Amino acid sequence: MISYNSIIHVNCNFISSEVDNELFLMSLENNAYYGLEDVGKRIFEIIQKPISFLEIVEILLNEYDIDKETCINDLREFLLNLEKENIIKISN
Amino acid sequence: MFKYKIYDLKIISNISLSDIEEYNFDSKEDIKIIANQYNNAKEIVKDSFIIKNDIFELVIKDIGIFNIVENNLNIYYFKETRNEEISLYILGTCIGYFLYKNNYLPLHGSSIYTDKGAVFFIGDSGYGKSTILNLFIKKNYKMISDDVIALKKINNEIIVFPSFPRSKIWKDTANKLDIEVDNLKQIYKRLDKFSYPIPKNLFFNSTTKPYIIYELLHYDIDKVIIEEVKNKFEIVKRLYKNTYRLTLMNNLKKNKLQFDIITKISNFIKFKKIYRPKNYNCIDELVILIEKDFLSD
Repeated sequence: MISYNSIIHVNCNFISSEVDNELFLMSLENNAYYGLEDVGKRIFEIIQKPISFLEIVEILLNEYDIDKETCINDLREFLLNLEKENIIKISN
Repeated sequence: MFKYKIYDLKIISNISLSDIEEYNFDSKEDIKIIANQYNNAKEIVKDSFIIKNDIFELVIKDIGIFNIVENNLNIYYFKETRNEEISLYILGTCIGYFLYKNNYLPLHGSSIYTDKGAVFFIGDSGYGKSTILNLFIKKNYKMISDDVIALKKINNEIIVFPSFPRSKIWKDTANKLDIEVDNLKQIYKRLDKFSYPIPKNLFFNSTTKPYIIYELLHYDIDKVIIEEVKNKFEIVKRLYKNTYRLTLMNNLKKNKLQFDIITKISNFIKFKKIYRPKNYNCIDELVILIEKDFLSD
């Protein structure tokens, strides 16, 4: 579950490396590789410090030409994916 | 004792490594090889390989036992085992293990030197890596390595290290290269592989930087296609897959090293896939195409 007040924490169990404009992550638990591009990469940068869902939405609305509803939906889906892969923790 | 330097690893050994020139050094060795004859060959009925925690033991029927403890490689060979057979295993899996241990990333492939840097040929076994290497050597290109390419990150740059002036080739390759097969030393009986020394002047005995990687693939098509891979994630994935003996890497917990080197190299490397028909026998033509490709790039 994700609400506006949910706090996003990055899991420390992986390392990252930049290749061109992509960010690669490797999980130190199962050695799986992940790649993040453009917005995904920017979001990952934003969540380096624990931050609430709503705060991320605000930053993104400022930086990208996107409506609030799409931003919230896409961000929610993206963060839930990261949570599923154990890259972040979402606490309420 | 014999002394050698292979991929910058300093080796001392009580047996000679076939076709490898000695190299003198005074500093401490990275690998110490102690080989002794073992008389109970009959006890070994099948090949086995154990790698677990700090244990490395490779047992090859009719050849011997290769056991690694820290920097020592202990070999127990049989009366009939030939020196070149022992050397093959030392220079293959055993060196692969020491490469990881010394923070090199080995890739499964061959490599030649060009003015722009190292050109790699990677791909599954039997896809023509060594054949292509040998045809380039015939065209006076210098060989950097065959079968195992060793990379290391030094001062934030990826460096390619030279192996040793020796090449493994398939029997039909030897025929193609007009080298008398019978005069070559047959060293890997079961796989029908042969080895032969590369002339000193055709071996690149220095470090260089990676320039371009060709991955060899078989495909159901009727002509050769060379296609550049632009997607970085795809390049990372293909380099991961072509890392030498992933079991060794996982066991030595070198995943971070692999990630670090692969992502670093993916930043600047040109990566191209070469698709060729399954029953392709115009390998000379392929070599011309590849040469044209990297010269014009």
